[in-house]
Amino acid sequence: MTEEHGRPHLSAEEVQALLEGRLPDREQGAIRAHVDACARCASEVQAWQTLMEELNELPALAPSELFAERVMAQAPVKKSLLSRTWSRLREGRRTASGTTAAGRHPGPAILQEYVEGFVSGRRRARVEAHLAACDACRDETEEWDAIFLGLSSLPRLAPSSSFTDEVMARVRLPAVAPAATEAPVWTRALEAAAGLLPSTSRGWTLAGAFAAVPATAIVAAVAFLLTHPLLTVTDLTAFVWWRGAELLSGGFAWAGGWALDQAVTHHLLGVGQLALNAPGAAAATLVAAWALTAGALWVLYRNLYRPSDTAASHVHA
Amino acid sequence: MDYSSLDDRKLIELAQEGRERAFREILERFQRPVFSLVFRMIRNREQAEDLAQEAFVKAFHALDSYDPDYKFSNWLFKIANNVAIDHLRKRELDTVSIHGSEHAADGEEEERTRIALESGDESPEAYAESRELGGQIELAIGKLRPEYRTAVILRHVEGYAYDEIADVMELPLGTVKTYLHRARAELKEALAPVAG
Ligand SMILES: [Zn+2]
Ligand SMILES: [Zn+2]
Repeated sequence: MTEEHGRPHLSAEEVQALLEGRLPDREQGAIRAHVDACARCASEVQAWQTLMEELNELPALAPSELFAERVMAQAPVKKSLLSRTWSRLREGRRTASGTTAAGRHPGPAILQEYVEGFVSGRRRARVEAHLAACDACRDETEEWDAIFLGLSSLPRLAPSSSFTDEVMARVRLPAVAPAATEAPVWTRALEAAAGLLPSTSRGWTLAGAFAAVPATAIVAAVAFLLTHPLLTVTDLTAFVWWRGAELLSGGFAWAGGWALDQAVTHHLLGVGQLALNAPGAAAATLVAAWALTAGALWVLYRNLYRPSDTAASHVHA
Repeated sequence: MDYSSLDDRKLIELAQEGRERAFREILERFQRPVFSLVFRMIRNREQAEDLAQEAFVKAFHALDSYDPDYKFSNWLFKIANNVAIDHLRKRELDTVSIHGSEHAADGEEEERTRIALESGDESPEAYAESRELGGQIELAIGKLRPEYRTAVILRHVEGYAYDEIADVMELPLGTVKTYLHRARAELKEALAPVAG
């Protein structure tokens, strides 16, 4: 058996397994690829397919006398056991016109290619010589002619007159409607923020509790500052830093130290000092600090402890 | 600018820039071929209009990914064919789930279900469809497997070469040949009693 297109030609068993969908999955790909690439196996498969279809229909509908010969003429090389049996089966029924002086009957694929004008040169001469001598193939060629004529007269069909407008209504053109394509950044930010709001009364209660925590702390700090008039923000920070450094482990202490060394931190402390000297600004600063702390706690809570709730609110947003 | 005199390539370039008139000219050029394919695949005018529209909308929104070295109509047919095939698959799934249900206990019940399903299609559009696709050869094409239908329509309505069909259907050339040979053989078989 010759080796072509990466694997040997298909055996009769493999062809039948392929047609009946019995091939193991791992072989299927290689075999199909081979059939697609190998003209010999492709025509073998086609012949078998027609043969099998015909065999299936045999009790209901008798095929034409010449059918099997045409089928087998397409499988030129390898004669399998089934095809030999089939030929013998047909032998008894063959009429005088089945054996012609002009050689074997061309198969349906060749006749279609002939009618379509794809057969040329010596092959064409051979087909035409056969057609001149064989009534059955001439009849069949006429049938193919009729099929091709019918197919070539199929019109294109028009959609309704509103088709163009309806498509254009569904298309978002960058040049036509740039604004409609995407909401502005601030709108999307607001929508995202709305997604963070609690959706149940229990959620609002918890949010209130979170808001109360920094508020209470800040009220306590203000009261402490007011009862100790000599204390400045810088002194307080230094005290907190000193206590904090004691309490926190090495890593946190380093991070805190780094933050205190930054110019930004010093600047913020300066602002804090100024705020204390101006009561209105101080109040604003405290409110801002309270809001930021409460917000940060709330977001932390939403993301860490109630992820499913967060997902649900995103769906609504 | 006269858009109707532009070649496909230039027209697509203008559409890629987002010019509305370029989109309209593309629709003018290709709505009939695309609709013809989808209508013959789906065989329901109303659904076919909707799916053909969907194909164009998809194509227009994906225009940035279109490679101008590739034939535009091939690209468009590929999208339209996929839209139609997807729809047929979904429809088949729906049909299977209805007929496969155990609710139709006896034959009578089953018959009632079948009639209800069929009468659901008796819209004016379905009537128009039956006139437009009611010819012998159209009916025979409607009975082909969807892949055969695509190949036959591209070959015989659009006059596509075999290798172009292979390109649109993303199949090897040999498979397209086999499809067309078998499809025509089935048509010949179906039309044989009529031909006499
Ligand atoms: Zn081979
Ligand atoms: Zn002959």
